Amino acid sequence: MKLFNQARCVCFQNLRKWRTNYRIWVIAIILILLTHYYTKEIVEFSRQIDVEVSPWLFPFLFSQKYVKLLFLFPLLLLFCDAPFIDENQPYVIARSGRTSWSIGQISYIVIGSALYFLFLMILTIIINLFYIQFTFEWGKVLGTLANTNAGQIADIKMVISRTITHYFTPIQAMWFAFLLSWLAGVFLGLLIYVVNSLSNTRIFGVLATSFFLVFDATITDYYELYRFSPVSWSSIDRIDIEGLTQMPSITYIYIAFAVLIIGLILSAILINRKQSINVLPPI
Amino acid sequence: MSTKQVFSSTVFYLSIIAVTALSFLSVWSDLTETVGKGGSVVYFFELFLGLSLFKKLVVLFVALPYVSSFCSDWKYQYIKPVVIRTGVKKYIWSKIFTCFLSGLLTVFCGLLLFFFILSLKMPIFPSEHIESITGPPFSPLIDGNFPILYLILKGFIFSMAAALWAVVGLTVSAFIPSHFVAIATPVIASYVLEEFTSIFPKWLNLYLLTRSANVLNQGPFVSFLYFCTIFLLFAALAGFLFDYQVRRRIRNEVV
Repeated sequence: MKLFNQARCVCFQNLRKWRTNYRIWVIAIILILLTHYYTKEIVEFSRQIDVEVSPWLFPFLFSQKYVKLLFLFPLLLLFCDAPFIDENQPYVIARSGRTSWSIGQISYIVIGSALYFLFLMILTIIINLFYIQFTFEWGKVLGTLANTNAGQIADIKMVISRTITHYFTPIQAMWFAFLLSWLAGVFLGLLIYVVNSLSNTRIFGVLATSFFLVFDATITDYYELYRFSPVSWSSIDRIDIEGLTQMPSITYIYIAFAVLIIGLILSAILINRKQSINVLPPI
Repeated sequence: MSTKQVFSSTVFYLSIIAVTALSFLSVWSDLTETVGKGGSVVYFFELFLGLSLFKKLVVLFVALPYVSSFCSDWKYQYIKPVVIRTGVKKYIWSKIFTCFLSGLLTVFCGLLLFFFILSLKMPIFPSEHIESITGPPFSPLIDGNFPILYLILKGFIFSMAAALWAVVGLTVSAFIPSHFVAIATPVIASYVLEEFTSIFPKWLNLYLLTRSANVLNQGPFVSFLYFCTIFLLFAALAGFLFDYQVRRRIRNEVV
């Protein structure tokens, strides 16, 4: 119990630093701008046809090619300084012990990633609040864009996937989009953490993660390759629901994420036990 | 000294290559579909200018060579020996000039490289329906003696806009001396100010000015001079703010 209490303190100390960290504020601003840019056309379309849009835009946010790259890039910036060894950390390690410290930092990645996607999800609603009608249905606007070619005619960049509106209710889609994005975020954060801890630098973790981001962007429409791209698993329109495509099933995605994340957590704890503590300047 | 610092930096040359790479990436799907089927350099350049988010990312590379230089000077106090030897005014305005120049050259050279590589594979202008791709104020240049001027002037205006955002980044770095903020500011400022100025008359709309839109209904050279003047004026305005804040910092008025 003491171990987890110490880990909790380490984790919350990292989160408390967000308030005074300009990097976090810049990331928040970038996310606001990106969300505004990608949702404004749908809102504009809804104003043109004089029908308010439902608030369930988050599941479609990453649907366009390369867009996921843009939305996950700030996440990479959030964790780019992993394993988060600033001037204060040697004292924290001395007081908590390596294992508690390590679990605390891993918990920080898990919670930080959840907060990131939660913020993004809330943003899609808040930014367009005045043009939104609260309903538990997909609504006329999203329904029209998913089932007709109105989106192409109105030149809307965000693709409203028919697969999502057909197979999921809005709440289900929001939940699964959040859950899978969160798992992908945790995977990316842990990957940066492990690679940076191994190499004792900040660059190799970012490079390894960038590889997965770019890989996802380049394999669009190559269904058979989605199985090897954890970043692609965060899109619910890239899941094989009826077993008719070469895309990975939800069971495959859950198992693969579990194996990858548990593997990375264990590696992180093992590496941290023998890692030399080098304080690097803040980014 | 500042200019030498930029030209001797590898980051400057890497940023030029990154601008070219990003330009290719932004039109890649269309490029692979239309190569050998009548694509042209002008078509792909106009396509690139139309993809506003990739345009914003270009601004990110503008920031890399020099925008965070004031942060380093301030953080490690390199500023002191330089200011003692040159004076505050020269220090400040050389920073602004170098930042503008580095931003301008990064994008302009990157775009020239983009045009050059594309021109190896396809004609610069399409053989027919050119009017559907190009428009005033620079379209009359295509019928003149140097049609290539169309691409060069449009690319130059886009580079001037990018250089303006670099100076804005430098200015903000004087208020918040953080490398991360300095590099991210040009992207954020360009988006916010372009959205904000969309409520102004179109001759002050930065989004239209960056795209060299026909905001004056004048000939190519008057329009070109107007675009350059506006971007220089805005850069000077940002420069004055930078000047104000750096002087305050040097006088220890900022806690």
